[in-house]
Amino acid sequence: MTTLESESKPVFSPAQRRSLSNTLWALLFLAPSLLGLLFFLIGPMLASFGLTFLEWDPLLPSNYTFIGLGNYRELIADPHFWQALGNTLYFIVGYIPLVVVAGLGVALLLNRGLRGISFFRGAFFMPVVSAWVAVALLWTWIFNPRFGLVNYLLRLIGIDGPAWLFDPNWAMPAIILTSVWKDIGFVSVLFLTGLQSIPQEYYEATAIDGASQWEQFRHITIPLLSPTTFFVLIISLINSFQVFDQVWIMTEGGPAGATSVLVEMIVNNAFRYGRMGYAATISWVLFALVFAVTLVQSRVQNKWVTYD
Amino acid sequence: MTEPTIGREPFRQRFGTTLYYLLLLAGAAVMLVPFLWMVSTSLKANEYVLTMPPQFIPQPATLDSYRRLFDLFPMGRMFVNSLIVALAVTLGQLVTCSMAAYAFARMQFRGRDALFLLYLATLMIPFQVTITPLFILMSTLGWVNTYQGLILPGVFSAFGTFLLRQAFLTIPADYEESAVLDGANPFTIFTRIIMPLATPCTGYAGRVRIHEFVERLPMAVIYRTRRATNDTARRFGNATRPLADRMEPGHGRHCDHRYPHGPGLPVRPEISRPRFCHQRSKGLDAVTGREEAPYSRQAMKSSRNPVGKTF
Repeated sequence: MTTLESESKPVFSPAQRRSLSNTLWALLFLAPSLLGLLFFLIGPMLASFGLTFLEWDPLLPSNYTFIGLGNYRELIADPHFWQALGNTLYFIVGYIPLVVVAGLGVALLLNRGLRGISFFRGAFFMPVVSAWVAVALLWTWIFNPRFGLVNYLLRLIGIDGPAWLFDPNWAMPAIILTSVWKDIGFVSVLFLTGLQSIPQEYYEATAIDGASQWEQFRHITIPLLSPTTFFVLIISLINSFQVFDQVWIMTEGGPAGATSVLVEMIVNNAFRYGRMGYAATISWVLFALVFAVTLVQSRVQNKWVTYD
Repeated sequence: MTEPTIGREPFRQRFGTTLYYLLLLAGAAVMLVPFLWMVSTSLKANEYVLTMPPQFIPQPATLDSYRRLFDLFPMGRMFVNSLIVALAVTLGQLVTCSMAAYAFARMQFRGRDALFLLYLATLMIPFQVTITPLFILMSTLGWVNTYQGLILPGVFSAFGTFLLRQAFLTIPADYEESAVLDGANPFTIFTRIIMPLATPCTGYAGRVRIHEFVERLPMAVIYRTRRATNDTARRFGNATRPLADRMEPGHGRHCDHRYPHGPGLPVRPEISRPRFCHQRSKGLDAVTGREEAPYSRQAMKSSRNPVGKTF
């Protein structure tokens, strides 16, 4: 009886069945990564959301008080938070255009099949494979007002360089320059991979039609590179909202809070002042910000990203 | 039209090439000089580190700093630890991320975009704040101070998934369509077409991962700031202490970290430099079982593909 019914009235139409089987396949492919992320990342993330309602010192784990929205209220009134947010935005506004343009420029240079190109690729990639700790220490020293390389070179051409990391006006530019220096290789290799996936025929065809190099760059390279550019922008934004390592080592937020950034504030609250709840609150506000920006970016992508 | 350019082309080309080389050399100098300076300083005796004008060739050169480094810290053990963690994390990520990336790039299913946004969301919370809940999770599992405790949380990555998804999106759909007509299921397509085509990109993803996990600064920082307390002191004992931990400035604070003397051991060896490019044709031949058509080398060359030699 049941078989008859199911024969006369199929549970799923063929199209539905196809989409069901697609979903099953997708689940199969997603399962390892999704389960792992849920367990090791999303779980702890949600737990940290719970912490935003607590006053909790991780060194005295059993000692916590539920304070409702107290952390959020404190955050809004905390001038240090606004300063850190401002500094983070300053970093982003300085860092992203520089690293994207410089990275693309280097990628275009490296994309020429010149002799000895692998040496140059290696040179640009060196900072990427170096630990932030080493790079930051190195640049702290290069920016040293008295013994550093930068001011030494400036003095050679007759300029009295600023105190860099000790000067509230110059500390952030120094950190931005260091970050750009370290990440150029990373960004340019991404762009290089993108450039090499553009078929040569497009260039040949337009060259025959008499297009100039600039026109080719503008109308072929830029549009066909857009998936890579999209990736670079999203990842750089997410990462630079969380700028921390270089700040922590080069200035620890100083001088006079001029380089104090959000994650530096989070780490101080969580592990120095024993205020895990407040640290989690800043993190989630930061999360909301980054999420909003990413959402806007992925909505806007239809306007400028071309997938072939 | 071609007549007048024939005479001019070589000169213009040579000029252009020279210009490119000059630009590249300038860039390479900016990239390399700091490293060379660090190497040079690591060979100086302490009293010669801060001299003005700076000494580029150490006079006299000494290996004292290296000797001190190896005396003070179990460098070999720490290096091996970093290596084990990095290799395991990278291999794990290549499997989990590429599978997920394939689903995101090529499969239609309900909630795909929302799920992808969830993946991206995991990148947006600073690691430093999830590490406490993660630590509690690890102690519940009894994984504190174990290799799996360091490795497993790193195996699953939204970054890797995103990177590979973008790469898979640029692979022409034609190959898969032909394979579907031949009756291939998604798994076959994934292992026989997508992965071979994407090896340069997966190789890159792999290298990036290795760097980050040899580094492991966040854990090192947390470890340092919490070392004073007994309940967390066991957390990263020597057994699983990564190399980057030693380079954290706090350890040398008594000798003012702003003036680093001694070697920083800045550059990790390039562990993985896969040159997989030749595999793309092999992989495609394996699908068809023969050299020519429908996935011939010729077809590969003339189509848009993300395969290119990067490093």
